[in-house]
Amino acid sequence: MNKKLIALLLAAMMLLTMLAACGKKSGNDTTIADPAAKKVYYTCLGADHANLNFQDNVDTPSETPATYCMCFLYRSYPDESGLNFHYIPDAAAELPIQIDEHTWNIPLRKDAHWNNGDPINADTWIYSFKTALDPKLANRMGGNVANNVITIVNADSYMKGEGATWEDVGIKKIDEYTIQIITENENAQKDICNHFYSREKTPIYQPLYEQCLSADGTTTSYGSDLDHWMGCGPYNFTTWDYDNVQIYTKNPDYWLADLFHWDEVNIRIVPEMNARVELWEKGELDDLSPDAKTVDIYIDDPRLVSYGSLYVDHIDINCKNPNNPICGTDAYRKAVYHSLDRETLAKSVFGHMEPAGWYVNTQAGLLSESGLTYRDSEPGNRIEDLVNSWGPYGYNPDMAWEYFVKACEESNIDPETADIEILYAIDDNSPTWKACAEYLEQQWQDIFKGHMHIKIVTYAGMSATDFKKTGDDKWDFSPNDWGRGASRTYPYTCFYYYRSAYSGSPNNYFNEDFEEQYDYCESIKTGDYNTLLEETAKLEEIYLEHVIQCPVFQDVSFSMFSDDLVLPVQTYIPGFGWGTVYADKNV
Amino acid sequence: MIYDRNNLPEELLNLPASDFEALYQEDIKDEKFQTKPVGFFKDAAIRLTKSKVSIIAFIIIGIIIILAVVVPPLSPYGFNDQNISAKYLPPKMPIVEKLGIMDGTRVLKNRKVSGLSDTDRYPEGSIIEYFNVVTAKGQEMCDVRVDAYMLAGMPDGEYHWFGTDYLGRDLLTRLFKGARISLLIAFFSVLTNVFIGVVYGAISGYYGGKVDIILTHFAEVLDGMPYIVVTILFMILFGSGMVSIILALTITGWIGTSRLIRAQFYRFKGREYVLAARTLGVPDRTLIFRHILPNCVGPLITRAMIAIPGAIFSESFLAYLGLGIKPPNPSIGVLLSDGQSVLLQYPYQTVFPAILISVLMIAFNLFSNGLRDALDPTKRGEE
Amino acid sequence: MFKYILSRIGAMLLTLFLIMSLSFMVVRLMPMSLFENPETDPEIQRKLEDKYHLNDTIPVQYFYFMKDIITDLNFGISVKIRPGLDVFGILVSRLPPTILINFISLFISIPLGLIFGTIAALNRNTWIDHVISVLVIIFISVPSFIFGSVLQYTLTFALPIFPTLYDSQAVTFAQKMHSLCLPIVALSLNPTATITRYLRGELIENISSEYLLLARTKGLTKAQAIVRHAFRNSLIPISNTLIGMITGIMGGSLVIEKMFAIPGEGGLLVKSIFAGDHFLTVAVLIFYSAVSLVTILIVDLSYGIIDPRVRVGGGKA
Repeated sequence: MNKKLIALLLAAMMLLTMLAACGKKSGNDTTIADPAAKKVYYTCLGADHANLNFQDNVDTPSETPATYCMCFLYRSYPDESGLNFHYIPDAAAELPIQIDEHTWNIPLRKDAHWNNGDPINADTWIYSFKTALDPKLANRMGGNVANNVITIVNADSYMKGEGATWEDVGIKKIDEYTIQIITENENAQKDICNHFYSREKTPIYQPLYEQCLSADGTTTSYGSDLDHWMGCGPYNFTTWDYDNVQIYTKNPDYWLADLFHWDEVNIRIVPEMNARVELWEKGELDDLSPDAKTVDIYIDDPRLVSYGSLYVDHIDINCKNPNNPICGTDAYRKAVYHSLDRETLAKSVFGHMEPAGWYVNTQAGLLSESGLTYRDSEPGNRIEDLVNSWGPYGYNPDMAWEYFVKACEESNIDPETADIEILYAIDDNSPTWKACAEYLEQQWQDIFKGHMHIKIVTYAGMSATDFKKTGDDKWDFSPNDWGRGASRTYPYTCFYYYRSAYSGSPNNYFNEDFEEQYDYCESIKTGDYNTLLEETAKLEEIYLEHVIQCPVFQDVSFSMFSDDLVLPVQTYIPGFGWGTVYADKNV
Repeated sequence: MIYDRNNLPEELLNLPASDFEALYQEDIKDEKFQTKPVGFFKDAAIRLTKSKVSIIAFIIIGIIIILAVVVPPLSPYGFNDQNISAKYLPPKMPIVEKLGIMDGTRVLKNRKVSGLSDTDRYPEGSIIEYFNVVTAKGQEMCDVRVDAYMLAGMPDGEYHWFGTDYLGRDLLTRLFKGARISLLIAFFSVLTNVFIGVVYGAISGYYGGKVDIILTHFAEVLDGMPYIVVTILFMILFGSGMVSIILALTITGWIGTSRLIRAQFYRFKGREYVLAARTLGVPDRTLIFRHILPNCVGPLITRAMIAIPGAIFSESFLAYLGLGIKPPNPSIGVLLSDGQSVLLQYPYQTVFPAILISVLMIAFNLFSNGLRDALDPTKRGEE
Repeated sequence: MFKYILSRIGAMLLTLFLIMSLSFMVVRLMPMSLFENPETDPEIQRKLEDKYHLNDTIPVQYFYFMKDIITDLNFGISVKIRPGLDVFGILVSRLPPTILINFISLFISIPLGLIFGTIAALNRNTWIDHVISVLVIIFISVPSFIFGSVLQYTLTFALPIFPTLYDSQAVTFAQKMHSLCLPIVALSLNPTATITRYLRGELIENISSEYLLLARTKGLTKAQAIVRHAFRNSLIPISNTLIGMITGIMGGSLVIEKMFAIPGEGGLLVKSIFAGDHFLTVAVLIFYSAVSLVTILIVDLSYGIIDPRVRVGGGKA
């Protein structure tokens, strides 16, 4: 009996092997039969979205399904010229109507509907906003509904359970097809549109949502997969194979269907840059966003376009490490500031980035009334001149050494015998910050003559914020984990995270002058723009005076589009992007 | 004539000794051994040296160890000497460069033809040839073969045999520094494993009974945990670094050794010589380490040798998952995983560490195979 | 026999329990706050943590954790990777590619190893044997991720025969295999070589044994004698190498899945570790442990079936 069993087992295995071998061969012949008439947009993402609950999902990959599959009250659309953009009503019937200083009416489209045909009306929107702000659900994106571009009256207070009831919140139903928004401040019409054009302000499908709500009303499984979710946008989410592929097909019933040209959007999830380049080289992608390492290959390619992003990347400095005797002094922070060769770091270590010895990015202020960015303005230039007067982008090894000596003296240490170890904590998964740490480690041996040296420590399995919470003695430097981009309208907002009032502060150094100045900027933000720029410069000056954290480079993004792709824009439009969702393809 | 044995004639009974004479004059002792007695290790060594493969493997291991010791201090570049303008240089080796490989050139794809004359970007003489000219979007594009060393502004006579990495560090130096670290991790983890295994196995095997049952069951339960799972958990908890890698590899690594030692102890503890020693009042410690343990040395060495490539593999495996040793120190695994991320642009970054780890693993495997055969007591005295 | 099986299963469950406790401890001891978005209000943060039992003491959390798993296979809810989804469901949804590459690798390598091992043994000390031996030592020594890299560079980039990515949309088995071919090859080289080496060694020993001579004198042809007697006797020690092979393949597939962007358990594990989705990490680790424990159990038991001596011995020899 045993003999037969073994023989049978062997035979089965052989069969499987042969099957597999045959499979491989025949696989070659059955390559994709191309549906010629279909316009398919092939693209890729580095990561998949975790779920489709846009009110709770904080990760940017969830932008994609929201853009393709949801309707908004308003959406942005490029001008004829392709150089600018404006807002068009989507689920709204027309642009918001101002009733008084703080009150806006939003008339709704009568033919808006879910993919299953159910109507989308004032009740849908009210229910959606109410859910987003629900204090029991504690949706993580709820705060953005209450306060982002505009601040809705009492919404924050309702959400945090601080007394306001739903009746107090400035979101009201006027009739079946009109809702009313009451804001705290005076706003422009486009601010209202802008506020409602983001994923957490898309509608949710009530019957399904209520089904998915847990009994105690604290959790929901809405959006966890396609069966627990309903779309209402230009495309249907037909396939979602998590971490692998997303396929969207055109929804012909959508009321603005004419604006969208793709028959299908095929998005692969490809975490490895190498694989993305491979796909691009094989012509299997319509666009590619090379990272700093791969952009070298395409640097001469006429298709390559670059644009500054909203972020200045920086290093957080710990001022409370008990093992570092000089960490509490301003001189130490300045020594660190002047020791960074930002030009080399940005151009070579991070690769093709813009060095920055300051913190307000080049985009800040671009969408202000005059369109003047802070960095191009006179006050902004003054700060740049100040920084460059110390050395290129603030890099000056001699000053670094002087400040180090000063820091030692202030802490009663003899700089000639000092031997201070600086813990540079990096995430194992970030190769560029690793390279930066290794570069600095080497540089410092010359700059601080061995009296202050870097020791690189790595952590895995947690975010930088988590790591910092493990103890003040565990780190001195850490790459930024939460970049706060300055808003394109109000340049000073990038300093938001570095105030003591902000609960999740990424660092532990606070300065009263700085906070006063920030509050002052906040109080005059709707006033004269030039005054605001001037005050922002003062804020940045204080920031540099105390090196609240250490700026390194202005982030630059790169993109390439295939020749077949017809973009609706002439160039990258800040605040709008490339508009690939409205793009077309030459077939 | 036949004599009765008991009634021999007088003259025959009282023969004088002088009547007898030795037939041979020389000594009639047995012939002396022509060879010296061969001890266990000598025998093993003889058999090991008879196997050509083992010798070659041994030589290769030796060379790599020597290089790992010698290259980092003797190289003109330190393992952490950076030259950021010379990052990602291709390999360039004297003599070999004449053959057209490892000559420090690289093909840059998709460059503007019009840009080639820009001497700021391409210093004079750095362009060797350009080809594949195509026109795209009104631009003439081509592929250029350039002398990467000239392009980076390196002086003549600068040679990075294996090229440089993302900070312009010499890869040859880093590779052998990395090999040194990987080997150290391997040796120390195996050493720790052997130590724990020997103590655990000896206690378990020598005392037997309840102690043995408890210890064996504990080891069995521990052994059921997949080492990958345990290692990853350990690394997450204690963070990356050389010491934690060594410890992580030790958690379940010692079980095999302890099992082997236990079996050996069971075999030898009942032997007469052990009983004799015990009767003479020799303490347990001496019995274990002086009298029984030496019997296990052969299999122990084999086992340790086999475990070394395993440890080297585990180290690079962990580095691939992002749990390697701390920068700026290199290890073979760290170099491999760094290279993997730029595999398409700079394949040589992966090639050299890959070759080194492969050769090292093959050599260790061949050598430990040879060693196993040589130390196998059943084959003793063969041939 | 029954007692033997029971004791094996008992040991297995004990190990599993230990692993579960250990992974829970390790994962919980890590300093963390599950929702570290600094934008979140501390008050909301506290509510979120309440929602997930995270504010209870560790023993209480441990109790909930174990109770849920044992009573209804509830490993908890993913908090980062797929918030709100049942961890067990995620685990199951990622199974197909992992099972495909792991099991196909195993099922390819066993027969291939047996074939090559037999060929090498029958042609001992000829060039065939030498070639196989050289390949065996290479495939055993060189780590699978090196082969993965080489295959990826040559066969998808330099000479694009195979697709760059795993194609989950493939309908037919053939298409699936086409996109999984390279990882499978990379994973199966080592186990194939391992089996080849063992079988060759065992067969050579058995071929020169007396019982085989007896079989020949009994009138069996050489082939018959080898297949009926030597081959079968050689299989026993080989089944013991299966344990190592399976854990080896699983470990290799961690890196290989990452390398070829296959959305399987390996990628999930790495991702969940780095995202700090601890319920998920624990679940995947328990999954891996369970698979390897079950393998060990099967091999142990089949050992008992193939080799009666083990069955009788039962306890420790």
